[in-house]
Amino acid sequence: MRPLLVAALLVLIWTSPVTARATGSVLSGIAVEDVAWDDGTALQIHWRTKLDEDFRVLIVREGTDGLMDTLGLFPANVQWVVDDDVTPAGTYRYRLSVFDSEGILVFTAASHGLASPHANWFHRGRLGEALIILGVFAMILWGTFRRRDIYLRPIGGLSAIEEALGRAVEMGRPVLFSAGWGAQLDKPTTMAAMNIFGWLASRAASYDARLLFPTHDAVLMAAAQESARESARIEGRPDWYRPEDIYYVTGSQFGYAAALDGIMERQKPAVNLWLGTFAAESLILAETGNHIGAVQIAGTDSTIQLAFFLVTCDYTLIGEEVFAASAYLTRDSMVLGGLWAQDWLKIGVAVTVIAGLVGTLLDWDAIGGWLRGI
Amino acid sequence: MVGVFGFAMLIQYFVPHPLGRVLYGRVLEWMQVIFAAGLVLGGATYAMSHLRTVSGRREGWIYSLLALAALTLMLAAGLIGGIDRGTLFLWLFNNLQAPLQQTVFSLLAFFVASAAYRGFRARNIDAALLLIVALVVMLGRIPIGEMTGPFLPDLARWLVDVPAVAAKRGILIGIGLGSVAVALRVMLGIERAWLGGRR
Repeated sequence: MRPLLVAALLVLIWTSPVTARATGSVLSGIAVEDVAWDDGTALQIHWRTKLDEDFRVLIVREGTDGLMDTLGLFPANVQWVVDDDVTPAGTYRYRLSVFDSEGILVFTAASHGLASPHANWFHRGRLGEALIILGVFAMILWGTFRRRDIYLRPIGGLSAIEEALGRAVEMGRPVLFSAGWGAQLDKPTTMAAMNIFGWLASRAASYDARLLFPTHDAVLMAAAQESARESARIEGRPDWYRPEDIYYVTGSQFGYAAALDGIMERQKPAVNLWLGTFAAESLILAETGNHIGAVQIAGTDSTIQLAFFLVTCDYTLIGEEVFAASAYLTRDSMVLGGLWAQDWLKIGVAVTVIAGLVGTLLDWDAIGGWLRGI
Repeated sequence: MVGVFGFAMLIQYFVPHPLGRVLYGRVLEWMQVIFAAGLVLGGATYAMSHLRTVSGRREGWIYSLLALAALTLMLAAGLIGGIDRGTLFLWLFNNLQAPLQQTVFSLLAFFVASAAYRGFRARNIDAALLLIVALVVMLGRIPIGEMTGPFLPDLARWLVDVPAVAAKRGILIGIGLGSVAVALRVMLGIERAWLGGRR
């Protein structure tokens, strides 16, 4: 019964004369425009009025298919409303009906002509982000292709990897590598960890050290197997590669932690490398590694887990050091050049932060506004 | 392929046109398919790995036998009886797997205690500073600390909200830039160590 009444009301409003009851100052300039730089699913309806918020505007949309829909009741003085429930192929007309504070219809009118939304190819609201990303890309590419051979400060954790490998060979024990339960191949941290793993597999193959990589993700396992196989081939040691040493254990977080604890207790690895994205399992793993007396090198982008690694591991790579590992280990001039660019970008960020700080302290809205605009 | 898909995903973020959303949705669907295929691959690898251990009577083979029995039981329970309320699968999950996971998680409390003991030993100035800050934060966050007056809780709050956040943001800025640099190098094929080899 209620839908019928609503439909009847809509039809009544739609078919009523342009002005039901003049009040002296009603709506004028009713126009419908496409919302620019969007996906073609929004139209903006705007009007001019001197009415205050006591007056309400009921907006009804009519599509070319004849379907009518109510957008809602809005205060008359807002003067514009966005309808974000239209389709790019459709054409629409809008009828605006003004009700006073007692709910009496005082005016009604329709928009002139039909309006159609258009889909755009660029989101102007994301122009700032696009410019920043382009700037960062340009800087990194410039640094990369200039192939700078820069000085890298010694990073204890990375320098210790080769030494730790030697220790594992001397002790006849394996090296355990984990990228963490949070590792996924679509994460840059995982890619950085896999870069280290590829290098590590190469060194382990040349030293004939056993390398274990239990994973929680089968896709990661497949990628790691491919990486280890290729590393062994390049080192001229294809017989070193053992697919059974890179295996899937479980997708469950604490099942994964328990499985790795069991591996550590049974196989007593000489070296544990915790490099990647870790969550609550980090301390369970690192404490067990500490208990068995393994040399532990950790590195993660998770700031919360860093604290746990710092107190339990021999070496900890903090944040960006994980991403710099590849440049540090391979000394590739292109990767080093990218690192040089990163340092300059960090200086840029620091300058921006200081500018924002000074702007805020001195109450300079121009700087704050500009930064917020970006 | 990494470069093509990487840049396509990046560009679609700036394209509001429905075609961009279609591309994004399609790639997400492919990711779901790859994930499902990965589960099958993972299950098969898991079974093969434990079968090898059992057949070779290697050290700890009895655990592998248990793992295979658990895999078979859960698989059979899910495939035959379903996974809804009242099924054997859900009973096994709620009464075996969940308590086992909770048990491992609860070990964290003891690990935190032993790690804190090691970490807070005042061996040098840095460690002593860490110990003092940790004590202030811990005391400031428990009722006995609040009973001493507002100083300790306020200091603890300031330590957590100001110096800790400042350090964290510094680390996060480095992580952000590092992530972009690694992603760009991988997408352009400049960095290929993840595929194997020394570069």
